Amino acid sequence: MILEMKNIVKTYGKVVANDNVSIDLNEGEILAIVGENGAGKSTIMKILYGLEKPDSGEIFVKGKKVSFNSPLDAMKLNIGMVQQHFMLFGPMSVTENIVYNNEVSRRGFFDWKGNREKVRELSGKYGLNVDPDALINDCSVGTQQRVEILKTLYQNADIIIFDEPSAVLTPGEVDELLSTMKNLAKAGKSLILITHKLNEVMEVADRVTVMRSGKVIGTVNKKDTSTDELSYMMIGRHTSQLNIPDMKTGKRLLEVEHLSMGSALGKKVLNDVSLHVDAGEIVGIAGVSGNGQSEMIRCITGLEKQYEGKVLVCDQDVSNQGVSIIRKAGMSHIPEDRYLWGSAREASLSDNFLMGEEDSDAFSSHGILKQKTIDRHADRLIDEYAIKTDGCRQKMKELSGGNAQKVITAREIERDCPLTIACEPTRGIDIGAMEFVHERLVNKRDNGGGVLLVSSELSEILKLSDRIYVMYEGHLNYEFRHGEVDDRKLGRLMLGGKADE
Amino acid sequence: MNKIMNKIGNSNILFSLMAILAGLLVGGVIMAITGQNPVEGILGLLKGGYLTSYAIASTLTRATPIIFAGLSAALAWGSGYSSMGAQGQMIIGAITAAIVAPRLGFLPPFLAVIITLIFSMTAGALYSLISAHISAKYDAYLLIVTLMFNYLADYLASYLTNYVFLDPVALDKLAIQTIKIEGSILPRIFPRYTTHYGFLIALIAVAATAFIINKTSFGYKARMGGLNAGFAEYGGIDSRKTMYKVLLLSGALAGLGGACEVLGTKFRYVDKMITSPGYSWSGITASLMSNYNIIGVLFSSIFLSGIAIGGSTIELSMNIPSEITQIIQGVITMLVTAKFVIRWHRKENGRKEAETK
Ligand SMILES: Nc1ncnc2c1ncn2[C@@H]1O[C@H](COP(=O)(O)OP(=O)(O)OP(=O)(O)O)[C@@H](O)[C@H]1O
Ligand SMILES: [Mg+2]
Repeated sequence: MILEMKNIVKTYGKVVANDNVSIDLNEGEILAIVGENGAGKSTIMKILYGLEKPDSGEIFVKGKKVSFNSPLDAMKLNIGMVQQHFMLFGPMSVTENIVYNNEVSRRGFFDWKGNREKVRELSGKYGLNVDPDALINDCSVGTQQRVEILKTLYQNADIIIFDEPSAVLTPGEVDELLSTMKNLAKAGKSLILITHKLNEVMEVADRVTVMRSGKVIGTVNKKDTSTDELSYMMIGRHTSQLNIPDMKTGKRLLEVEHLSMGSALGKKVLNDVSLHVDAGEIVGIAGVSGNGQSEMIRCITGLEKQYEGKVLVCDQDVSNQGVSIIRKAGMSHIPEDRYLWGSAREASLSDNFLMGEEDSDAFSSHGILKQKTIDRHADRLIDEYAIKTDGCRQKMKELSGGNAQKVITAREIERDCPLTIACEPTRGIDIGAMEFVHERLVNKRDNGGGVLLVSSELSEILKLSDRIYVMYEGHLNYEFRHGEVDDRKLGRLMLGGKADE
Repeated sequence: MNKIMNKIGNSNILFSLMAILAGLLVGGVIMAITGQNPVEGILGLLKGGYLTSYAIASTLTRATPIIFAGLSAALAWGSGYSSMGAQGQMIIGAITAAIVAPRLGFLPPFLAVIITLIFSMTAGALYSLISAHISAKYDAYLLIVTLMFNYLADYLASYLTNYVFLDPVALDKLAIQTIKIEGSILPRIFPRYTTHYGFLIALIAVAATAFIINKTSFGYKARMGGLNAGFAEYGGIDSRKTMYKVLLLSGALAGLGGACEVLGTKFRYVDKMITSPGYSWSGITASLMSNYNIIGVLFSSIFLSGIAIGGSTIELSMNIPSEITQIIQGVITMLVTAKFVIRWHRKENGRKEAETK
């Protein structure tokens, strides 16, 4: 046994994030930790990586009792962590990032050749492909993650923690990550994987520890379990089949005509994009991220105003208009990045729920906020979406990742407007809550609303969408109705393949 | 150690208290080195700053302009606009008061004071708006523009005092000052103590600003813009409109502070009366110490003012040079500013990190 955490307790004020949690890890295995949002998964890993100090409990690494004050201590004990928000220097090269703090130098100077060799050697040994001279800013998210992994390997990590590593990756990158993880385990590294995607668990894990409300519910061998059993252990009930009734579509809610946008390099990021969303339908955009989805959404939602083409929301021409006009025309928007756009981490939940409505008669009169109504509204959404929090005055940054996402998703779905642009609405959300969010999206559609859904989860697109567009290199290449296409075919088209192959 | 630093970095009150402690410690050490009794010195400083009725009165008097400058800075910085313009706006407010008040002698004093205050507020607000507009129009750093406007205000006030409104019958021929205001002034609250009604106005300003920031939809927009500009933009908040409103208000507060200083303590504009005591820097430090919390500005301003008053007391009574007090203040300012720089750096880094994705 390479690692043992015994009876770890960690409280934040009244909240018990970890309640007598014990976890052990064998050498060369992959242990998955699963559990609902706010179960305490990230907390126990932050403790292991020295980012948080436990109130009580013991940690043994290779049989020796240890304690941490900072990640530096953890690194000294060969523990590494691949963080969800990467800790990389954007304007510097891959090599510099990997060897940072421990570089080879010659006569006091940075030895490019030596360092590059080391990076090559490592990347070859574990099959992690990177270009040592590329700048981080030019790398895809998947590559940046590989750099993070190489960084931990360079620091001789034997235990590597992955906290929801696949949340930001494209499906292809996820496959690559999973096979990398298997390689690492084969090479004798011991890995811990936190994820909400049970298929990933079934693919790579040896054992699975399930957490709920700060406690460990149980640990099972992957061989002896199934996704059904795991999800039952996680949320205490079986997942149900979502019922999506047939709907007649109504009037046009969103019309995008010949949208085009160039980049600084003169290349077209968006190339003649036309689409529409009608009342009573969910329209999915399938595509490998980086093919123009983000830019398209920014244009439609008013965050980007420099483009050619037309955008109409509820018959109102909002081309090249700003956010507030478009929102007033009848649109809400779940943004793809929850911290960059979607929330203010230092603000309270009430403040976060209020965004976009601060001037509405419901929440203010004569410019003065109706704080009681605002708080009541916040409490209602917290309750409905089962957001785990101390109350509406808690700061956003104190919520677990999935609960923070729920705040944003709830705010935008429950806004009183016909059209919702939903980008990754369930990123980081647990299975139970994901079901609920799907239900609410379908409910919106059933009540005559419309949803434009962008998701890197193909299963989500296939399950919910009445129509699906395939986006590739800034253009919508294909359009299908629900049931006309399966994930294999969609996957091929997303990579630029032809429909009749 | 890292961990402790992190904790402190995140807990603002704790950090400010540590900074204060460190400042006093350094002051004590220097007193010891220069042959003074540090314990007596520090105790004397605290007593002279906070513990006698006379000390309290002087401290509150000095705190008054600092509170206004602090409010002005906290409002702007807390909303994400790096304005350093409090000083210039205070000067403009002060010179406006010195020009307007003597010409309102025909009105009842109360009315004259109110009108003067309104003039000064407007002048400060306009002055702030001009710098805001230049910064927005030419895409120049607000920080730089406001700093330049501080110099401009200072020279402008000097010029006006010297060449247009100089007091011709001043006893002290070397003093560059405007004529004395008779009647329409802010009187003392208690005759024996220097604290004047300007302090009460400052209290009202604190309450009003706190109300605006925390309870109005404009305040909400300003706060969210300060916490995450991306979030505000995404939500449809017009950042330019918010910036103009915030800086207008911030300038009005500073202008009001300048007027109170003229009407409450000097009764005229004296050249460099705002710049040389460093009111606006103390105000900015106070706003950093309180992490832009409006109510917090009140307390940190009073604290900083007390250090200065206590310092001059021990200079007189114990012959401890005022440089030591300045060092104490310097250490506190430096630590508080360092925290601020670290946070700014983190924020910038965070932004870059997000951009790389
Ligand atoms: N800094 C903090 N202050 C207060 N409470 C906190 C803080 N950090 C975490 N918590 C609370 O501790 C609990 C566990 O959080 P944690 O981040 O470990 O959950 P998680 O299992 O990783 O959830 P998710 O799947 O959503 O990422 C949550 O209820 C959260 O609100
Ligand atoms: Mg988590």
